[in-house]
Amino acid sequence: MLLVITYSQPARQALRNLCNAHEETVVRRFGRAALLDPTEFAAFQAVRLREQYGRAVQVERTRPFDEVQAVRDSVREAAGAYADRDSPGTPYAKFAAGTDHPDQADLKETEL
Amino acid sequence: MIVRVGDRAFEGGAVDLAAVGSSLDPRAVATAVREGRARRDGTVVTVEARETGALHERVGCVTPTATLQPRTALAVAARSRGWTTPVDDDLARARERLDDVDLGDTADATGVEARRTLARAEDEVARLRERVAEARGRVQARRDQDANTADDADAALTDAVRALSEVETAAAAAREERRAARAEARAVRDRLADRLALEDEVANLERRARAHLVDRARDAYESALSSVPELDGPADPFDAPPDAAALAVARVGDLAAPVVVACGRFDTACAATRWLDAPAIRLDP
Repeated sequence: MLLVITYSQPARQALRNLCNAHEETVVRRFGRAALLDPTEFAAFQAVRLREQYGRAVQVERTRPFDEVQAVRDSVREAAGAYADRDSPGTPYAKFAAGTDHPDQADLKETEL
Repeated sequence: MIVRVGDRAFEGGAVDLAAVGSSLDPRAVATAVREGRARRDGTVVTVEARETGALHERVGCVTPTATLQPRTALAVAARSRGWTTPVDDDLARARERLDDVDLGDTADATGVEARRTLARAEDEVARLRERVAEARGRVQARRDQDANTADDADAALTDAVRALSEVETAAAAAREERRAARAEARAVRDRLADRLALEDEVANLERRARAHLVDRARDAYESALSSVPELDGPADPFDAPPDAAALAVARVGDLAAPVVVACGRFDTACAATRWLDAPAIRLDP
């Protein structure tokens, strides 16, 4: 899908108008952003906004996140264990210390 | 003030133009008050008077059909009397910070150019890779036939490999340019986001300032409204007919420039001037 984020009042208004005029193209609306269908029409609208408002319009192409393919087993297992932890107040760094779960600093440095 | 309509001149704090003829457009006269001169349907109106301010923009032309936001106008009237609010300092600082936001280059020309250059370079890379593969195939074929005639084919392969290496370098440079353009766009967006937050802050403070001023001026406004001629007191003072609300706001505020009164509530320009405590030009509604 196309994620369109606006960074100025006029760009925000233009996106709002676009969403109102073409509801069928819009998957989801947020404050000053919207997720558009992956169609050429949505791309046309996104490029038009970018032509008009320059860097005040950010367009990202998104894809569903498949954690099984995108992430190491150990990371997924750590996420599951952390979600299931007994004390909700424990930060992950402390939770992972002394276990086989990946280190928080390593996670932050490793690109997907 | 001195008002001239065509070749007739009028002078004083209260000018009655009702006698001049009903064809005169009150808005044209108000424009003449603001800009010194206006022309409508071939008639030139000029006004020499004190300069207008923000309040005149709101209530300087009183007609039964004028649109008016009574609360906003009342806040402007309160300002014209020099009233301040507890958020004024914060508001001034927020406005200053907003003015100081340096966005940098908000157009994305470098990004567009980088993306186009990269696309061209990548097309070239693909084309030359095919050429290299073909040249390699020909070299192999010649070798299979006769090892001695492979020189031309070898030279063609060497050329193709060199050309490919050049465009691959160009593509890498274009990719780097695209990365730099993205980083720059991200920095610009940080500043744009800061500006949006400041705009929200200013709007929020303006609302609070306006609420404060309206609150303070409300009694004066209601009392002015209750003395507007030919008016049955409305249930909600901010729902009064626009000409009555404009008159009440004008009376609350401090107006040095003449108010154009074309509402039929005053029989003479002097009556309007006395009621408003401001210079007035009276016209037929």
